[in-house]
Amino acid sequence: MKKVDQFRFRILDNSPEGVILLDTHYRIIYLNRMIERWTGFILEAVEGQPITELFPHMAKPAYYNRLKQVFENGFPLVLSAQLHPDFLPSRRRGKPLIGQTTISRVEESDTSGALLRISLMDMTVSTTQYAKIVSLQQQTGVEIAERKHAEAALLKEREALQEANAAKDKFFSILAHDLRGPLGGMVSMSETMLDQFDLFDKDELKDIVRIMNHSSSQVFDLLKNLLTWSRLNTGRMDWQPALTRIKPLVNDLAGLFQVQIVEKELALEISCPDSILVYADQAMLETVLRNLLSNALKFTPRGGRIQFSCAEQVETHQTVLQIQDTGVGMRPEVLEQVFDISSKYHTPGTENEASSGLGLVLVKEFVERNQGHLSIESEPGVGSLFTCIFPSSAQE
Amino acid sequence: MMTTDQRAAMTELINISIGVAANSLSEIVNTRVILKVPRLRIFGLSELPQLGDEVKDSSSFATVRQDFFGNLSGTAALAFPPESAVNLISLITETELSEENLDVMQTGTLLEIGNIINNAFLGTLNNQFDFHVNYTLPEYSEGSITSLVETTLEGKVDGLIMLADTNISVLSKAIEGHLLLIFEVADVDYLKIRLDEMMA
Repeated sequence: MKKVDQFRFRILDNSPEGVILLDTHYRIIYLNRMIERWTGFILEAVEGQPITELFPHMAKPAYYNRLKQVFENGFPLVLSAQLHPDFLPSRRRGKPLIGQTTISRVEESDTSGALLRISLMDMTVSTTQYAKIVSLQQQTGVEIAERKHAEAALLKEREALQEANAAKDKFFSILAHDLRGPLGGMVSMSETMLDQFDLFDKDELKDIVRIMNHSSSQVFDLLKNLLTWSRLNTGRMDWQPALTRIKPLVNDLAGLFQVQIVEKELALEISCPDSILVYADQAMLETVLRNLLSNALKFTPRGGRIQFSCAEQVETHQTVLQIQDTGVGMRPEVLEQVFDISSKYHTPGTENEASSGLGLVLVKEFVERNQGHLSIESEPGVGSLFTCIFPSSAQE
Repeated sequence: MMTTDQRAAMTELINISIGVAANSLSEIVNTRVILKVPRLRIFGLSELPQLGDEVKDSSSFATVRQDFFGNLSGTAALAFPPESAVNLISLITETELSEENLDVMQTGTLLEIGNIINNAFLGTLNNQFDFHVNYTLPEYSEGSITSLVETTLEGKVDGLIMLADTNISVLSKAIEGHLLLIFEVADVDYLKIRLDEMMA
């Protein structure tokens, strides 16, 4: 083998890559300092040896044919670290080196015409750094997700707390204002009656008792709603759905409100076939209808008309209940807040009847608990139409 | 542009090279790799926007390019949409990759695959026409295909871009990529003469 002047190759010792030069017989002509350091081979010891003696796997056709192609055709070759981790077994600071190998032909006039240059690029640091960055990104991602989750839980808790506060405020507001009015009236009336009992004739006494009865009915209604609402909010409300015939229930309620209907000279028309059924909890259904009727009576001026109708939609297995009045109606902004427990919008009836705004909150809650749907159409000065849709049979 | 015969000759050369590349890839990954080029289209430099539309160009194509210079000069490039690049590496290395960002190990693998396909094509041209050309080392980059063509033909009066859609099937899964050959005008004329000779 012709001795090659290695001096001109020493420039390769400054390369950050490991470099091996082979002649056309695949014999080692030069290997630079990086290769010496990474593989442990020393140039003086291996010079002139076929590369396949140092690395026997390179004699296998899969590698040998590719090296040959580089020599013959000049096509540069890349052997990736992932697919060929052991092509040039190397270690860096005691650990396996992750390296990508490039093999190319170098035209060389001093030797037999060409050299094969095998370059090993160390990718250990960039690979491990990248893995660290990815791990850090994932960790940061997890931390962000956890923080967002905690923030969402906190927000939910805060909303629940605000809702509970609003409910409590509403409760005290009802106690302070809505019960105070009718109860105050009763106290004042009973005091007057007590002080001047002998001065009143029979008709006057009857009037006073009638007013007291009216006030106490209102207080009773309010207390019933408060109690129901309280049970609902403390989770003590059972739901026991059953098929209930609507007409008798509405007739009973109409009987309860008869005094008010007559006093306000209202016309209540009930259009409900006997056969119509609703699948719902009876107590809740009664609360819904009582409140809707009471509402219509309060907000319909003297001489007005209230219509109750019901019908079954056979194809959808639903029953539609509607209460329409010729009352004062609601403006859109009032309509928007009518189910909001914290809303400040609530007004007394047309003849100063007490109204807490609690009734409609209960109506909506109970309709929805019975798989139903409630909608309101209203126009100020014209009236309101409340539509409740309930299942007409037990759903599968 | 090119005549029908010249296009047919070019398509044949690409098909031959693709067969060689498939064998090389199969040998390396120890599994059967099938390569197909369903069609070859040719664009002038002024038709770059149409080329961009055809390949649904985006700024994140993973590309392996190799230049060659000598009797015939030009650039061969293999370009993969990002999800195709990830899928291809996943299949070849039998690893589950979920992220679209490739690390240096993975881009190295893509570089090797691109190098094999590019070499197969350039080798076929070389065998057919006995060109005397030199080759640069393959280079990996990420970017749009149109910017790759623009920078390659920067300062040139006109050029020609051959776009070969490339389907790579590994373990019954198909991955789509594009093989691009970019030439400037003078080299196109030379290539046409050699293709005419081939068909004669």
